[in-house]
Amino acid sequence: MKKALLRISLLLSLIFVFSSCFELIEDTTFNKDGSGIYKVTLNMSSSQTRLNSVMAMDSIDGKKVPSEKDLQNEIESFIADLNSQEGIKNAKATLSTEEWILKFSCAFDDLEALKNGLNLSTKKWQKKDQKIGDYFEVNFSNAGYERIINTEVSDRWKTKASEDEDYNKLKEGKCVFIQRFPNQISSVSNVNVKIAKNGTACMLMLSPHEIIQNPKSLNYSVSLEE
Amino acid sequence: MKSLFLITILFFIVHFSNGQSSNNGLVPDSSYFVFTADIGRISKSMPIKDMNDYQFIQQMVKEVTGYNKEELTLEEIGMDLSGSIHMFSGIKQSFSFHGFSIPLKDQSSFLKNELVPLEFRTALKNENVAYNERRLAFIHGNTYMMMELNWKDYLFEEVVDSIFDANHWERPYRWGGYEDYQYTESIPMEESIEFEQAVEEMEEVEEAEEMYEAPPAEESDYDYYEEKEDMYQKYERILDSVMDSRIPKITEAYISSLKEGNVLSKTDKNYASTQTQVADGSIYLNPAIANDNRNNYYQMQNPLLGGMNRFTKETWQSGYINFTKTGLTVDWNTHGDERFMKVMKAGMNSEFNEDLLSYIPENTQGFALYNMNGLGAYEAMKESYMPVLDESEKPEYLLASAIWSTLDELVDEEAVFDIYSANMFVTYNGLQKMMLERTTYDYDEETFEYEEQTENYEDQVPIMTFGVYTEKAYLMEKYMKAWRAYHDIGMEKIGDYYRFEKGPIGGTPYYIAIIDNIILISNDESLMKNNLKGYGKDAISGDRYKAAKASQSFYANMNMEELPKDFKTLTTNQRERDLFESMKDKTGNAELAMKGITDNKQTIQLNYTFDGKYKNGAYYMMDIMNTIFERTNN
Repeated sequence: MKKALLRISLLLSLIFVFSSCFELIEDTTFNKDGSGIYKVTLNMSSSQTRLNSVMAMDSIDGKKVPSEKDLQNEIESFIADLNSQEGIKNAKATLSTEEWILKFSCAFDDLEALKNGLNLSTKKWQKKDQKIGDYFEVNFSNAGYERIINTEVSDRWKTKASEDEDYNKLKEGKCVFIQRFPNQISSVSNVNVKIAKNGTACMLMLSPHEIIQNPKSLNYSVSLEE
Repeated sequence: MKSLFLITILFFIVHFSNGQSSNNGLVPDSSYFVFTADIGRISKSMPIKDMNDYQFIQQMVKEVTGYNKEELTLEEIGMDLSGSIHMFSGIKQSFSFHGFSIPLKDQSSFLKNELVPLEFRTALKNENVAYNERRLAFIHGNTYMMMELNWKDYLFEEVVDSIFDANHWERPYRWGGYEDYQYTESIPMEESIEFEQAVEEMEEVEEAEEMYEAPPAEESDYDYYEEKEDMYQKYERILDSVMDSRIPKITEAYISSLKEGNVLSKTDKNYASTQTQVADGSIYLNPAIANDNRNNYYQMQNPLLGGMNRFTKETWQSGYINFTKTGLTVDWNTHGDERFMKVMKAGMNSEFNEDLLSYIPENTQGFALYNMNGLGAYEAMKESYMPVLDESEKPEYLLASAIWSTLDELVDEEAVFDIYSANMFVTYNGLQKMMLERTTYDYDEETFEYEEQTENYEDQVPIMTFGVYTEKAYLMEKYMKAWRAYHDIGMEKIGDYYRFEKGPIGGTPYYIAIIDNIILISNDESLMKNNLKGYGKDAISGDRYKAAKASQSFYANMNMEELPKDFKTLTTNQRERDLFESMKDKTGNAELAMKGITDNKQTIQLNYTFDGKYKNGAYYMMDIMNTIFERTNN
């Protein structure tokens, strides 16, 4: 178990702050050579009243609230940096502060390049000993795809989080993971992962609450036909 | 600065303690902001023994004294709890400063606590003064004063530039350095580095240069960038040298000046007058002092701004805080010369339009009214200030007068102020459940491609209404018609009002109605549907109505009873929700009104009345502070 197992709690505290419910969609399209397109959509439109209240404030708990311009600048700088990383192309992102929807996409040469690129470009937001990929592994070959989560949420944290009035609202949120493959899917290892009718895409939809209760529910592998 | 935090808490403690007010404190001259607690005025409000019972007091005394006892008392800090405490900010020509002064009762106990930096204690004990580059502590009589100094680096850079120029060295580019700002001032005479001194320092530097044995440079190794780097290092080294030699001299001169009695109560009659006013606490704010000593780059670039600063030189503010049996009052005064007050008076010569009051419901949580005789104020301003510009010999003032007169001839001011009649109100009518729109995604079962969909959901939204009276309201109607003609801007006309699909509050719709000479802008649909002619018998009445009707220029009234609940709904995390939950029984009513105007000051009064049972306003405030402390430290 990695020491950083509770880093996920940082993300969760953010989720508590910024959502009554939200929808996160991670959509990865793979080509035969391992390259592909990676998209993330974070839909916080259900929380727009609270987000606008937050944006109207100067600070929360002594921490400065960024302005819309700060957020846009931060995104622009992240995208410019990501586009300079090896194996990453056409990175784009938009944030609508009217509806509070963030859309991000980029093309990658292989999953390693994507992981490295995201690690390097998000360095300023990470703790020193923390990297994207510390908590999960994703692998792709023409034989299949696998996603392994290396972290746990401690019972102590779960108990503490469950005392928060917003905890149950996490049941209303959605985290959606979609993978699209160049070949037909022959099988998936997790009963919660659905296969599209066209047979080349799979989708796992969980609530943030389910993920906190059992992060391993994100583990699955997909076998592809030759 | 930890001690500044501690002193902030101390201010409030002393504010509520027993004793007799005695001194004017040690407030340095050139202070433009001073916050004073006069203890004598509140001597019977809250005995020290009651204060000692509060958890945050115990914690504060523990931190200040370093004692680790079961029960601590404020007396253990060593300060004189019958004196006055001052917090101040100021600016001199080569540094700005902020700090505090406190009266002492037991000097040796006081010098042991956290408010006195460890490295200063011996010097203070022996010589009553201690300083380093950034801090200065001083004991005079029975008063301890401590201040932080923030040096204006660009003034020292100016000296280094002159040294570089005298030596024909190429100055390195330094981002944010002197040249980026093109400051026009220099170190003032009494603190200045004269040319001879600069040359002297240059010679010192040259000596240092000679002593420094540079490694022999080989021609083939010549690197342009390395040389640039060398010059940059040289610049920094000389700058350090200039600052090291000048800062102690300026600090010592400043200390001598303080010892000679150059304190604000002697050098500034305005401040001195605030100290004679009887009040629990007082505030002195004089931006003109800051403007005089700040860099005048913007004023140089903008002659009108420079001119305005000159005209407002006699304008300053004072505030007096008093605890009452039922809450507290704050009298806020804007002082100015006769000319300035003439303009303000002319602006106040206006009556609030009563029709607007019918749009403020009785159950409103808060409202504010504002009315001003814009034309009167403009005419008074022209009458008072145009001759000053005309009589000036400064070219920029004469030009300003010429431009102003031209505009005055071209523009029909009466028509302008008919359109822009500053006769308006704003209300906050609490939170209301409203249908909002959010985006969701539909997933295609065939491919898992997804499409955005819009769906409605219910949420609580703050309800605000803004209304303005203008005799030219028909112009707004014309704009509405024109906007409606553009089909894609998301607005429609429904009966007598216009509905805009997306407003600034949570993307909810908002509405505009033009009723006779009143323009209403609101996100309250029920106002548009049911009360376009006003709330009738459900509009504000009684004391609030009378106070609003009689108001001059400005009036606001806020009932805080529901606010903690509203904030709790809108806030985003459990900790803040807990805080607002704990504040729900610490509410009150705030009334802010223009109290009056004379030839030299205008007064606005805040009257806060608490809900619930407290002995007086001091107990109420202490309860709030203790609650915040408990919540933020759990």
